[in-house]
Amino acid sequence: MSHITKTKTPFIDKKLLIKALDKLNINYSLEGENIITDRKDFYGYQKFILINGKYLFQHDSSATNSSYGWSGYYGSNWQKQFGDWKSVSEFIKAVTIEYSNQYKILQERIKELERLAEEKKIKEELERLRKEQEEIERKRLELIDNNKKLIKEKAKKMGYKVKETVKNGKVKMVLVRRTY
Amino acid sequence: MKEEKIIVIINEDGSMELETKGIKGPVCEDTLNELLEDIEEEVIETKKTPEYNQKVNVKNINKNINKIKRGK
Repeated sequence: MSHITKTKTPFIDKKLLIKALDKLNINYSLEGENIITDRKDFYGYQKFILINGKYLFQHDSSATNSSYGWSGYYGSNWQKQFGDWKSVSEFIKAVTIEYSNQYKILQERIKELERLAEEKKIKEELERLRKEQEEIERKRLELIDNNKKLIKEKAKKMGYKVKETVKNGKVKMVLVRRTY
Repeated sequence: MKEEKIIVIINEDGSMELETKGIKGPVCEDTLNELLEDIEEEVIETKKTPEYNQKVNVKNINKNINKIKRGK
């Protein structure tokens, strides 16, 4: 004979727990670190209390699996008071699922933001390299123009006539002089 | 009448290739050096063409230099 026991996901984060409660449309109020729900049992409001870094759900033990009676004490519209989860176990199960879901959403959001940050980083790097390339290109054209100018001036001094053509990005200068 | 020609190619990266044609003897090298005088760039390769080793009529060279100086 074997036995398997599974504990619920510990509620260690207040923000995640609140998000889960919001998502499940559960009314609550905050009292310091504790979260007081509007679910009521024989001993009063059921609440999440922080103990040793975990939020534990405090309630009347008889409410764990009972899905009857409480509406009788506090009103006939049990759905208004308990939502879809009349028993504590059903309620905790729903909160656990949503708590885990909210954590997944957080993880996915982080991944998405990391991806966007990486894209932004890549874009910034690309922009930096483009500017670097533009600067190199500007210097290259400036140098070619300057060399052309110097060659022309010198060639003229040396008695050459200069004919210039440009083909495939290359400048061709033909310097000619006639001697006797 | 003799024609002296220098072909200058300025490549896209700014490097240059120069070649003389119709200039005989070592003077062709001097001519290129003179042309490149104002361009501060290192020469990484030189190659002698057959014309480099051809004999030069010194008398004619002097005559030509004088004509150039006079701007003819």
